[in-house]
Amino acid sequence: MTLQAVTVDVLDPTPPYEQLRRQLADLVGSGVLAPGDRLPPVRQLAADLGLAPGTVARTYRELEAAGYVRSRRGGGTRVAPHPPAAATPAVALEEAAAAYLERTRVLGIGTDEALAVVQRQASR
Amino acid sequence: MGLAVLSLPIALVAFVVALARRHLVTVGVNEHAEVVRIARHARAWRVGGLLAGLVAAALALTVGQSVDALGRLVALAPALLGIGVLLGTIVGELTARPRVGVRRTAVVETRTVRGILPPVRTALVGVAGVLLAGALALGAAWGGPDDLQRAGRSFTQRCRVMVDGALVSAWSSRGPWPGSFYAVPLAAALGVAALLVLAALVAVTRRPRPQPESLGLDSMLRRWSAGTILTAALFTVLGTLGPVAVLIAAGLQPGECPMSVTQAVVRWVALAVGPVALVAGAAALGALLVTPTIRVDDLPRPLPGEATPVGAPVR
Repeated sequence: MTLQAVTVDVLDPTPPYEQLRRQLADLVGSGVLAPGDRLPPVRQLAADLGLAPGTVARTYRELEAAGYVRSRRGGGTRVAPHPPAAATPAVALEEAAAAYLERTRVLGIGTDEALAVVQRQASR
Repeated sequence: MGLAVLSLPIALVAFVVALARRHLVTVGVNEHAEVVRIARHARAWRVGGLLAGLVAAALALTVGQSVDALGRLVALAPALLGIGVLLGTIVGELTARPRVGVRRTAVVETRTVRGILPPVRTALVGVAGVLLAGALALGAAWGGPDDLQRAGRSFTQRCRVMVDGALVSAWSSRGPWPGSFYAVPLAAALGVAALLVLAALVAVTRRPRPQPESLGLDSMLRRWSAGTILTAALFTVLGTLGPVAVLIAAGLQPGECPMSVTQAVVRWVALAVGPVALVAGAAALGALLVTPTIRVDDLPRPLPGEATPVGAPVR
């Protein structure tokens, strides 16, 4: 299995547990993490990301509630046998755009300026 | 004490061999800075633990003899050295923390103790541990009281032998014998060392990873640390097993009473295991003094297409 990485930006207005949940859900839903694959232990992932173990534990709880993973005492957290399918690229793009606009709003930047920045970046 | 002095030249030879064959990884300046920092931090604590262990072992060998003339403290010297290294390793690994920034990345992986264990050294520690446990159990089972009624300090045999056509009672007693008198404190110290080995391996496994671009080097650093932990364990076990086997072989001498087949076999096994364990234990000590290192190259690496293979460009 190729090693995959997850990234958390602590300045992002999206809470770290949600950033983590989204990335892990994408990895499971797209089949990168296969059914039965073990997710990192809560304490290990929390230490690697410099987060509180409770943050990662909440991510795992949410993933379990959504049917992506199964947790078993002593057996760790593994990808569920039949996890939900991945979101379509269009939905993923919508989510990324919403996250971007949410961040610009927190920074006090208007929508027009945010769109202009995107166009400027795209034309480079 | 005499065995320790005899082992010193072997340890010195092993030290020189380990130094010549030392695993050295060179990284460029500003490359893998976090891993280099963690490696130096862990190494400093490990060396500190090694020095503390050497002092404790030297004290056990010298002062220990005057505190307990029967040698129970002297017997603990290898375990004290090993425990020093293990404690230093644990503190170093637990306090090594990579710096975290605003954007943090982690690899989706499950790190396990089994994944960082070097197989050959693990097998050696396992075999040596089984031999030592067997030697201590056998010593405790066959041990008896000595002339001052100290339990488990002597190997005593009672039998009836034919003298001038008449059966007479005979007995022989030899000591010091590694019975419960020595086996209990040794087993306690080795139990502590075993727990520390486990704790140190878990600490190495759980240490947070630095940035993912240093993944390979960080994994190598973990395997090196696990190797050093097992070398410390190997020294502790072999350094204890050697003298125990020598005492067993010395105690199982043919005397007034004939030896059983089991006793004869144990004697020959002890005669073979004792010197081998002493030599291998001394070699483990020599190897413990030299550990793999990450060296930082001061000169920048050549750019692709640069004429000079190494170093700064010629002006």
